[in-house]
Amino acid sequence: MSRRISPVIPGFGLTLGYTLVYLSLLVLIPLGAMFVHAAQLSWDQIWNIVSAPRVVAALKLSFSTALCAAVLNGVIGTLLAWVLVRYTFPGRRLIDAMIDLPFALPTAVAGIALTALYAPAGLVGQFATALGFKIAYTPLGITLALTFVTLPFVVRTIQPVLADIPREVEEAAACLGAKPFQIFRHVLVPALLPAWLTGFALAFARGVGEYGSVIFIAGNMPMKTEILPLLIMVKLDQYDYHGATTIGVLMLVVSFILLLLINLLQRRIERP
Amino acid sequence: MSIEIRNVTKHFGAFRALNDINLDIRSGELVALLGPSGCGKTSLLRIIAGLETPDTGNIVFHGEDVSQHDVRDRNVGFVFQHYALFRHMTVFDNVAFGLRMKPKGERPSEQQIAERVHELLNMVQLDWLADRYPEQLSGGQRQRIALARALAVRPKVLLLDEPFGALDAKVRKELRRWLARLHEEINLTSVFVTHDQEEAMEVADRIVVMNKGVIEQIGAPGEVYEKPASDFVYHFLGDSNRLHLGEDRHLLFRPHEVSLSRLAMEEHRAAQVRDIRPLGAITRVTLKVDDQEELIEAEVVKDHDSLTGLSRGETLFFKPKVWDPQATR
Repeated sequence: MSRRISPVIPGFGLTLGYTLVYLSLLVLIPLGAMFVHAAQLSWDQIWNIVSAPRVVAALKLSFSTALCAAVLNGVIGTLLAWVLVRYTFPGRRLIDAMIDLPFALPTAVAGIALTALYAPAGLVGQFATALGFKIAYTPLGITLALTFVTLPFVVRTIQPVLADIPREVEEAAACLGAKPFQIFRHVLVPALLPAWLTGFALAFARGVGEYGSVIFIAGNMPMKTEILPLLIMVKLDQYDYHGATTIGVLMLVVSFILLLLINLLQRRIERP
Repeated sequence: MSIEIRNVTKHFGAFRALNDINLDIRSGELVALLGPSGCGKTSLLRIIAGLETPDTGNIVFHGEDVSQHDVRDRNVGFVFQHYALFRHMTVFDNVAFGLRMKPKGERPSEQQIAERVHELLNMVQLDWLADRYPEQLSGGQRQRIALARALAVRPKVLLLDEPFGALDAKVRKELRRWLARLHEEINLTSVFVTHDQEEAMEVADRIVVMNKGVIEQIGAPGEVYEKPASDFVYHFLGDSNRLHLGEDRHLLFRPHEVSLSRLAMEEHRAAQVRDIRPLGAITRVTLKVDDQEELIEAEVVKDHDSLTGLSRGETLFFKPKVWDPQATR
């Protein structure tokens, strides 16, 4: 006489079916088509495309700037989440609401605004010029744009986890003699790390694929400040569809491997 | 180690949580801070621990003023109401935490730590749970682990904030008896906060009754119960009846401090029986006296003569046993 409690969303078969159709139409088929298209080339041709110096330079640039931005956000985002959760101050809700703005803003607008600010003659850029370096039109500018665009990821993933850690846990650690750094290292970091990694991975993945905000501030000089998504656009403009899809597949494979590694790491950290 | 609390005052904004508190706790004593919520008992405990700073006043441990000492240097064990265990650590790692955080010079070897942890886990009878995570344990088990964790660093004082407050009634009873026995064994100066008078009476050597930021009375359980210093203490330590004597005078007495009879007797007053509740060893009879609204509750042993065949609506005669003008307030 065991009656199952009926699940909130009905029908395993129906939900699974819907999920698969949805995933197929929106994710698998487009990505699959890309692979099919790229597969029309021989291995040699593929190798020639991906090993071209311009592609390699763009690949390095895209992944390194996305990584820098994600790391930067890992620090800034954690601090922001900390301040928003642990302190009450006038304007806190306003700042909290502003965190999501980079998502709402058209990325091109963000890119143009940042370029205007950080260009050599811009409001902030002039100080950099005075000190003898450039922000816009360099990898630094790209990192800046990516940091802006991916800011909400780390903040929003850490915030609820941090709010869920009771103050008492830190007090208990202090009573046991732990110094502030030890509390941070042994009590808070392990609790936050899985969420932090999620935020980091999301920011990183988004940063690799970001296009709109970067092309304005990057300067787009081949071999120097040209990102991979832009290179794809360049290939498309030249009707080189095979080249474009091959680079697309390359980005996909590299991103997938990195995300998979982050996921595995997360599994190892998250114990039962 | 003894604890002296000298002239401690604490405000939270405009709210005065503690007002000039003075209290001496003897070495090896188990003291209960008892009072309703908001009476300041938890603030006082947190001030003793160093988790909160008093506005004025001093905390003295064994003759040494520790008021300026950080919580890390006071060497107190603190047990929280909601356990505050480290979720991502096993039971073993939770208990070992304090030892592992010690500076390099003082830190025991991993082997010594393991020995100490198992010794403590055996003491709280949970050695078999060493590899579990806190969320796999019941509330009572978690609280015992929290206690083992607090004791691992050999604190000089043990402070417990409503340690059984989050547990269900049966576990709570078991655990407080166990705590009293444990205290006898290790004989560590301990202070615990509770709002449950039964818990305080059952566990503590001395009870400090607090109300609205001041201490109402300090004494042994029997003392505060039998000789309450104020109406507040009287009401807080157990059920009470108020019998009006006219001219603003009234008499306070406990439900069991009453003599019942089916027949009219000298000094006994007539009352109508409103309710009869058998509660196990005793039976509670609710009585209505003619000239007052407040009902009187009387508790007598279940086989009391006056109860045989008694039903609602009948008349009983009762007399408070403390028929003493001295007790009139």
